[in-house]
Amino acid sequence: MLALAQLKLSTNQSWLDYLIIGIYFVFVLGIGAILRNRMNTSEDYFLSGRSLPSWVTGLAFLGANLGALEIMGMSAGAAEYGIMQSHYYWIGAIPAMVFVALFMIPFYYASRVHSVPGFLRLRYNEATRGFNATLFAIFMVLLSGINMYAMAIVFRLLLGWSLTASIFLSAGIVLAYVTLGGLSSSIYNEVLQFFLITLGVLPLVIFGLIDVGGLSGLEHSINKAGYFHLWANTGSTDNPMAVQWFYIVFGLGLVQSFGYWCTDFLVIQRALAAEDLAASQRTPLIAAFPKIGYGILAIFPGLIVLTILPNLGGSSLANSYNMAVPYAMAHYFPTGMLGVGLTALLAAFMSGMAGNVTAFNTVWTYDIYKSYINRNAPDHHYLNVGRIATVAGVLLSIATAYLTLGFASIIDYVQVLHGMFLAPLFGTFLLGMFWRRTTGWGGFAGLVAGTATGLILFLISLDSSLGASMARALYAFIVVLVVTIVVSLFTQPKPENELRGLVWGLTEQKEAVEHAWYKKPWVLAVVVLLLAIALNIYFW
Amino acid sequence: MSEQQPREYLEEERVPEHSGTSHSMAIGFYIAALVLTFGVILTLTGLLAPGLRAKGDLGFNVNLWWGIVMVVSGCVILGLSLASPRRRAEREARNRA
Repeated sequence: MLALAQLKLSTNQSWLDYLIIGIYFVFVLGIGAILRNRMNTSEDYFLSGRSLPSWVTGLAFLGANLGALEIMGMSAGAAEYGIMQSHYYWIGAIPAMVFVALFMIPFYYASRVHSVPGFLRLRYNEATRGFNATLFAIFMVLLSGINMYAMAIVFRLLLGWSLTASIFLSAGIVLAYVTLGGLSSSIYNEVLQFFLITLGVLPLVIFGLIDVGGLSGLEHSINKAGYFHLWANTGSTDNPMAVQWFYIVFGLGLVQSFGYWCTDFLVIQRALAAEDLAASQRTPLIAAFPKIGYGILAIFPGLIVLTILPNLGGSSLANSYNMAVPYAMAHYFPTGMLGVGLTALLAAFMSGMAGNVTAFNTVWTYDIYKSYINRNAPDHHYLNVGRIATVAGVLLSIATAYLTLGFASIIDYVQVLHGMFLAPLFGTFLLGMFWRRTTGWGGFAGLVAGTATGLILFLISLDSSLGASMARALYAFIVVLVVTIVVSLFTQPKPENELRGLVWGLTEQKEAVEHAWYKKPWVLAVVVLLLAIALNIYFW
Repeated sequence: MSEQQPREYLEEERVPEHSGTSHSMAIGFYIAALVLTFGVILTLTGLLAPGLRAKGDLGFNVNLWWGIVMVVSGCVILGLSLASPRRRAEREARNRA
């Protein structure tokens, strides 16, 4: 019996990996089916009934953020730019997450702000909402192509199919996943995804570091100047990212990062699903601890792969930076472990892709179709429109998957998009929330001007490097602030009673009650910030 | 456009009400089940086919060791879910009823 099993396992190298991937899909689709019978309302699926403890919402918060971009994109960036890629964690995420926990969550909790389009419509006007909804639908389609592309790369490596065949296979799987209800249990799957990704990527970093002889061995065998410093060379542009500290701190750390964490309601809604205000506030802070760790987990595979393939980074797909993680996994993981690693990647793509497609579907159906095209149809009509939008979204993602081929790595592509779509939105959000005098048309003019600035700056230079994206984000943000303020001063402000629940000073916020000292938000915030500072100094 | 309409739009489509369903326990079991399944598969593979090695072989049985790590992780998640104060409170409430 033992000999037989041994023979089988060693003669067929991949059925075990497929088995593991198969079990994952059975679990994910199975839980959707079980929950569908047990839950009463569609809201239950989504927010799981506002009864969740903060460890669940915290891990779901991070799980919703850990897409393909996180795993393949960040390590691709690390292979291209070295450890400076960790700026996207220790300066480009942690401060914003702390800010969201301490200031934004109590505000969101008490206010009527629960979605970007909802806020823009109430705080500004219909035009601002419509403009943003259209941009957002485009943004989601452009973004979901990345997940499609990343998934296709893995299938290509696994099955040896052509890229086009792999992309269509990915599209088919995503469609099946979404239609079979793989989305309906999102919080379950996001928490699961967090564990799967961590258990799949952690061994990669451990094995890699053992192999190259720890951090010093890694530095020695990569032997590239500046690859192991976060800040030391940022006084000038003579560093792998070719960017100065000013743009890292303000372009990335302030505009891009705060823009993402304050306005991405896919993530924020996880915090609002917690059982009470204290647990909601804790959610981003609990997520921040593993997020700090991902500054290592997501970055190091990209560095480790350079010791195996020093010439990675060319124009051909097989030589692309995006292959960093799949190559590293294929190198270090035997059959079995490889299945677990690939499942971790697939889990990330699925949820990233499904999240984008659903967001596209919602914005198209409710914020565009229902608002401007067909206002008074029965409910089932919108349900069908939503279904068609899902299919259309997947088909459009196939097209955008090819778009990502034109960029050195998917992280470059994503940051071009973030700089263009999120940075201006953040300016509009910030002014609307903190300055009563901001007017509807002021917000609209600012958002249009800022978006145009980002777009024009990109089209002029066509520079997709990360440094250029940080700078563009900063300029677009400044344009939004200036234009919004100037136009607001010349237009009629809204009466105060219309701004209640929408503007900081006009929203009554409750104080969260928390007795255990180690659960107090500011205690967690200080600890997480100290950790981030320590890592910045260690890798200075 | 009165005040009424935006609020209806927001709450109907975006802000669900509390339905009273408790999910935290189920999530813990769900995750423990998958992590344990993967862990057991890896451990068995490591035991039955110790010869399975990757290109970049590190000289130890990767499947066996990481399988054990996953089994232990799964047990910890399961244990925490079973021991959670919420579960105890739920059980007591049921006993009282």
